[in-house]
Amino acid sequence: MKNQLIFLSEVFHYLASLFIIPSTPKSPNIIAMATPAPIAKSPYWGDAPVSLRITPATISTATIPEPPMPSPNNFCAKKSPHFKFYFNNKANIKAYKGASTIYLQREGGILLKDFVEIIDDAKVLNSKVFSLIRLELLSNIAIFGRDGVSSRELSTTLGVSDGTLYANLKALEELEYIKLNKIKLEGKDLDTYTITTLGLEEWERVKAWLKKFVECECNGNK
Amino acid sequence: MGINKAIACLKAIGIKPKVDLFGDRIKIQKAIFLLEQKGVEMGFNYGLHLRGPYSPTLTQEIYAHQEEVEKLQTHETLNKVEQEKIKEYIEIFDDSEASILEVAATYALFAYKYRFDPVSATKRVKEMKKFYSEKQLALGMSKAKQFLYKPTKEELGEIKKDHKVWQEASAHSVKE
Repeated sequence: MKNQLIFLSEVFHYLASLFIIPSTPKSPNIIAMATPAPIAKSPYWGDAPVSLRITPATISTATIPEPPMPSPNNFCAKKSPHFKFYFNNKANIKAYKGASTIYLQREGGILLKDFVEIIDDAKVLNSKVFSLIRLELLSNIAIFGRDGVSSRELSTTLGVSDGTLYANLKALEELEYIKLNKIKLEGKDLDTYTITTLGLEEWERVKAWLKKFVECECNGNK
Repeated sequence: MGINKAIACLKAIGIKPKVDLFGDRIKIQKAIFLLEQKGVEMGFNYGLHLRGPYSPTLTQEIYAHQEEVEKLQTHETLNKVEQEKIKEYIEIFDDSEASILEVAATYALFAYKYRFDPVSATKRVKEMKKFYSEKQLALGMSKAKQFLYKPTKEELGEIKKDHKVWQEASAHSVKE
């Protein structure tokens, strides 16, 4: 998960670097391109820089056209099983203003369009929830619904110190995602936590986003 | 099946739960799990959660039918075999506290549902339930074994072999 988030963050920075280039397309039909490589020297399924063309029609309908015949300067990534694209090869890529959708795919099935959507979707999430411990707490407390879960169960299972546990529980409580209840069980005082409606809604949003991210073609899961 | 059968089981056991009490909800969850493991089918899907075996669906149902659960109102009845199993449950777990049922159910999950060997199952229970005393752990696990243990064919063979020696000795002494 950590690696996936790091990867996502790298992709985000990469995309950001693409979109801040305020250039004007040399040709109105080209909104995104990479330096073409001579196909003779570098087959398009190799790791050399490749070209990409997307027409305005493609942008407005947000669909990918049928792939044209591959050529050194013009081919569509979609449906090309051999296509490889390397993110590290930034030097060979140029993107022009207005390129809101870029379709690139790499070995294992990365579809940049998905990433753009995922990054957009992430804007509705509360970043304060995004730490491993808080996600674990929220998910575990959510499972027990109205039943609630005691702090000692959380501490034992998650293997965290009481200090860490309470600091994070407190943070979630302040966000009004969870509620503390003081109960007595077999003569002992216990702190139990239940998820609130607000917390459940946030958890559902996070879950849906994570699911989308994990299932994204970028992770080679397809 | 479902909550009605669960209520019938609670009624037969003699648990009159107060749904708002944390301990009572644990008792319901664990009793129903142990009975399901024994073969009284109620259709609740239990997964391993930080409290051991737990069914979120059962919790939802308990709250949705709070009045029926508390008043033990149900149209469902138990057959003879199920009644026998309940009788056995009462003999072993009668008046057990929530903690004992929790330990027993967690051991049952590892040992009988997931088929861990007894040593591994015990280890897992002790890891998960560190906050319980050795006495509570030992009692809970021993009750789970008492309720759910079924000897394997090999073990039955061994038992028969052992018994055979005694039977032969007994037959021999009768002849004399």
